[in-house]
Amino acid sequence: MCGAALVRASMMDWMPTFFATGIGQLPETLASGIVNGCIYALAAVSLLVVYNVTGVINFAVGDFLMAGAMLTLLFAGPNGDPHRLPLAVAVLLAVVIVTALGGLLELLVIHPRRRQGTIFLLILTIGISSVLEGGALIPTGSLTYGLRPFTSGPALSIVGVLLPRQDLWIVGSTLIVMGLLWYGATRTRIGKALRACEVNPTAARLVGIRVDRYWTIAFALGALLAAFAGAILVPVTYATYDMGIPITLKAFVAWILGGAESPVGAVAGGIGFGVLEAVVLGYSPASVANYGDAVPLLLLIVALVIRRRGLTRQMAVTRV
Amino acid sequence: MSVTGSASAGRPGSRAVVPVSVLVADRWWAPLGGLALVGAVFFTMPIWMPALGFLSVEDGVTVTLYTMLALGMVLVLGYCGQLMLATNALFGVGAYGLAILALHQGLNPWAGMAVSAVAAGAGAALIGVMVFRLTGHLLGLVTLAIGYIAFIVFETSPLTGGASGIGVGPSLSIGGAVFSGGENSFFYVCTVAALISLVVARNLVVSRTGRALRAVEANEAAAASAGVNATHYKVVAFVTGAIIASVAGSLYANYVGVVGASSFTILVTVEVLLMAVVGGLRSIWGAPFGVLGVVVFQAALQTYGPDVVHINSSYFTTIGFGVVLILVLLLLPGGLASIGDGLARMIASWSPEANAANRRISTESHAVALQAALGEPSTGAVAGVSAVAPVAPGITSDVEGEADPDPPCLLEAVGVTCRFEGLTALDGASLELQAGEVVGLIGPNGAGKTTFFNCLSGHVQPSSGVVRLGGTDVTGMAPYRIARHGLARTFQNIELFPDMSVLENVMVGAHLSAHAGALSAIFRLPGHWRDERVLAQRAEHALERVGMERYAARAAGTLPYGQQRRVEIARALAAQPHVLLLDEPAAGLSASEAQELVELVRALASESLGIVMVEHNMRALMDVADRVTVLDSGRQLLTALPDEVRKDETVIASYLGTSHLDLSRASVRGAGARPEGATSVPEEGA
Amino acid sequence: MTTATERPAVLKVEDLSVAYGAVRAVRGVSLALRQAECLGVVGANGAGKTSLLAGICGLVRPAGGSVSLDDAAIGGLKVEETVRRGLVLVPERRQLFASMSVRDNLLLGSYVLGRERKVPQQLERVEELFPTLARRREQRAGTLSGGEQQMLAIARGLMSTPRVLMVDEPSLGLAPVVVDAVVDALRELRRQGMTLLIVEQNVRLAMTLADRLLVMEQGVVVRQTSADAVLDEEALVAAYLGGPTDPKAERHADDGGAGSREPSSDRSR
Repeated sequence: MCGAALVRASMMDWMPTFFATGIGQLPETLASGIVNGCIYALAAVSLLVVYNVTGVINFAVGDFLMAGAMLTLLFAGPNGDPHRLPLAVAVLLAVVIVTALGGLLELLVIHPRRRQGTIFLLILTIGISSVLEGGALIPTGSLTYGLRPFTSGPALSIVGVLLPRQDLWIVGSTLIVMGLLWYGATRTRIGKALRACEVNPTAARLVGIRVDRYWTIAFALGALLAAFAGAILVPVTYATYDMGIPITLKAFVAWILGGAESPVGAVAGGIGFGVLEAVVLGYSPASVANYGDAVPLLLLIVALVIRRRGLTRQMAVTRV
Repeated sequence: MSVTGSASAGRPGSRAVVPVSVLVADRWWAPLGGLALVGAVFFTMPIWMPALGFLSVEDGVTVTLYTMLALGMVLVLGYCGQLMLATNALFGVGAYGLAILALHQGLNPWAGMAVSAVAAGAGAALIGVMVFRLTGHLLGLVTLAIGYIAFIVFETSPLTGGASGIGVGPSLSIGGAVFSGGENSFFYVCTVAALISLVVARNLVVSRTGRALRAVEANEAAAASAGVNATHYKVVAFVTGAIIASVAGSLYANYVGVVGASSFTILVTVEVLLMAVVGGLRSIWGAPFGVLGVVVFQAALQTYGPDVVHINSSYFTTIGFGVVLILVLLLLPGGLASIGDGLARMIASWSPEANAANRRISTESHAVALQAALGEPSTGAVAGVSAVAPVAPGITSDVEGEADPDPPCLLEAVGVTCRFEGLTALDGASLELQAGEVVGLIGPNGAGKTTFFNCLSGHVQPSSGVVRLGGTDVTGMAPYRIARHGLARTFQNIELFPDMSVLENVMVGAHLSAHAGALSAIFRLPGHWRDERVLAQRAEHALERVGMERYAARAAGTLPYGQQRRVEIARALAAQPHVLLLDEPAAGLSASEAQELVELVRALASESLGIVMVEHNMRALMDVADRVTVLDSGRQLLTALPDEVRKDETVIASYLGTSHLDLSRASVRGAGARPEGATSVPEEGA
Repeated sequence: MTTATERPAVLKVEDLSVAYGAVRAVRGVSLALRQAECLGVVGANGAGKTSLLAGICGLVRPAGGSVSLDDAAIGGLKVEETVRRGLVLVPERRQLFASMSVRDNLLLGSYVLGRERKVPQQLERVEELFPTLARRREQRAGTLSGGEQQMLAIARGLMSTPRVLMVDEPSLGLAPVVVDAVVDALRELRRQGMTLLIVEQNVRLAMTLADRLLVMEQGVVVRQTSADAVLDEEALVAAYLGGPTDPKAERHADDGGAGSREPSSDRSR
């Protein structure tokens, strides 16, 4: 019914990396959990930055990630394409384009309605999500794509744990990005102003910060983080146009688990969730593990029922 | 007793008030017009759809079933303000439920449909109770996760046949007539189901339940203070939507014959959201047209798109959805329904009667209206209320019975303390209120007056202390439960339901005077009609009391400020409270309006209502209060007669400040007035 | 002091109205603030003092009237823009960036100056004026005591080198001893020639600070005097606490005659 739109590729194409290698011993399981957790952490920080500055939950965060992955593939070329750009250039180009796209979409879509309620804005980001997915679907179709690891070679053994090289790339570059983010937020004028918008928007206006512009900056920064996560993820997974929504949901779990307040919490939540997911799925019987994403997502509901004060507190105080 | 009769009786030459019975103009035949329009479009789909060239009767089935899904979205998101994104799960429960029950239990498809619907309803109730405490966007993501989990389960579980799906079994039949997928007869079954769903949703919305839903959507705190249990009504809306969605799922299962998980992806939910938005979230009647619009657009895109760009046609839909969703939200946030409303208004403005009525309302001088308001109604209303009281014996006698045995005092607060994150907003405040008494509550900025009110009405939980209402300990109860014990309030920044009419606003205030629930609303049982009459009468009398009955039909948000204040007081009065809390009722009123308010408050007190009033307009307050309690920095300075308060040194010091030059002396005396505890007021609104 | 009336007005407000939805919080207030003058606005809560400031600086869009700074119209501009023109509000309850350091708060105060050279100089001057803040540079603003927070709020306001500084309720929620320190700081600012508009509920405190006082009630200016005029205590109490007052004062209030076209008071000299 409703045309072929309902017939879609399964959203489970994107699977944690450890599935490919089989369920190994605990150290490997933990390591792959951390690797996945880095991706969740980047996406969760992206959610956090946008939410803290604008109060909007960016439903399209997973799709910005997908866009980063797809554009990296496009520029670096699938395996063996002779016309590809150098990897570093490809990643940079992909990230820059998605960042600009994030800012542009905020200006075109969110900005005109920024005084509306949060639900209205969330629905708008669902629209953005569909546009991004559709935009990726038209050139790529429902096919899946992969990219070679950033550096080739056998898995490295570190204190007896075998780690694929791309995993190290993911963990290392996540650390670097988080470091840069911290530096930017605490040492630069724009970073401080962005934090000022989070901490106290009224005070920010009073010192002359044009808070509206920082909405655009926040969306662009959120898109940047997501795109970067997509770029470093694509060598270990297959990119599909519909990989976004599961990642959005997981980033959201990570964000909530981390307390939904600080970037440190979001990173901890992301890595914690990645590890939890790896352990739960790695050590469940196949009949449970077959349900894949459904298992960790159940945790979301548990997390929220337990932690619902985390987000609602400020609202409860200002209400009435 | 005729409502209109009682309203105008005894007031010769009174205004041409539109009778309340007309304002509540819901009759059993009222939805027939809309139903005929939708029916005409739907039933003719097998004719006009193929004629367009790119649509078939199958698209007609899609339209009818998705209309049912969209109705659920409109009920929950549009009317209740709750973003529930689990539509695909509910749709799937109906479809798989039917198939599984037929396969494993050999159940007849009608029974399977019913059992699935019950299961979906029960599941929705369970989920609702669990998640409705979450706020807006969190709810959206959690329910979306539920939808996604459901999809994975459908795709994986052996029970649902995994990726290959499950066969459905025998087709629906009535007597000898079999309705199976490929035939037009099945299309008509779906159309009838969609139309029934429309009536169900419409009846639910136009009822006591519907008003409660809209009140919750507009302002949960205000709804709660009228005694509306928000969670209950959210669950009612969600369960209704879930049952409709499940029935749609069962019909779909019958239609396709084999149920596969790919029909229940999250995209279904996104599509339904899109359709509901296009139709207009605030309109039941917009939904079918929103669905129709999206389906036609999608089919056209798939048919003609590839002629323009040579790409696989199905790839267009996702981006098309996104673009349409964004464009509609940006350019036509009210959806197609707002076009319909505009047309309706245009047509109405052509009719001469409506014109006359409009002119009458707009040319009325507010001053004249207010004069009239304070003249007779406040006296006439006393009689009016006592006349109507027997109509709803349940509540009245109930509450009166509680207050009867020699009440020590109506409202008693002892040592109420309230801390927010280290800041003590209220520190051991106490209050006693007798029937017929007006107590004023004053104090400088940040003294904790509104916090005290919120503790009394239950909107804030006190950290310690006791609040008793007519002898019952209500400390820490939810606001809607405190309202049931006879406390009503108004808010500092008028919290009316702006899109509802004045009468509907006040009817929400009278919510507890009636009992009709969702079922009697949906099926229009006699209880529904009886309760609507009772509520309308209550509301009308409350409006008369504040002199606003002639504005009953106006949307509350369009009234001038002073009148909104009155409507808010009327809404509180409609609950027939024993205790009334007024939070800055004179704020923003002109001097003459404030004077009228004073008289109104006096009149209410003379009817042995107990009133507590926070007010900055000291002239008004000192005029009306029997006693005045002064708060400063969360502490109670004193409670005394207005004249004593005015002369009291500490009060004057707390307001005017102590002279900077003799601080040393003042700091000893003023220690009570400005305690050290107040030195570190933390940031607000970070 | 006597020259105050001869200096040109820096900030001119004419017939300003501020409304929140249908509530008119300020109804047609006029005032003029001269170079290096300190004007106090007093009145009970709900009188519209804070709304007046919000309307002047553009935190709330005025419903009517005009505002000009150095003869350039700034009415209707948003607060982000009026700050750039040199009109700075130190808000009620301070509105600091609580989780950021004192120094970051100050640096954000000079946000509109961009990367100008002035910033370090100004930081130095401000820390000289408020030595406590210099000592607590790295401390988080939210952990300062109430008085220090108020000083930080004022200091942050000074960081953009404003033409006019408006301070809302500097004594709110502070212990008397702490109020002393804040008042001293404001006095020092005044001595240095800063043009000040101070809203204060505490009349006696306002009297010790300001050259002139405006008394507001129910959104209008009901009287204005020079600060050294002996204020009619009873009338003041009436303005704050209502009650039996001379009806004359009230009627004056309604005809809006208390504007600032003739700012000098007729009572004092």
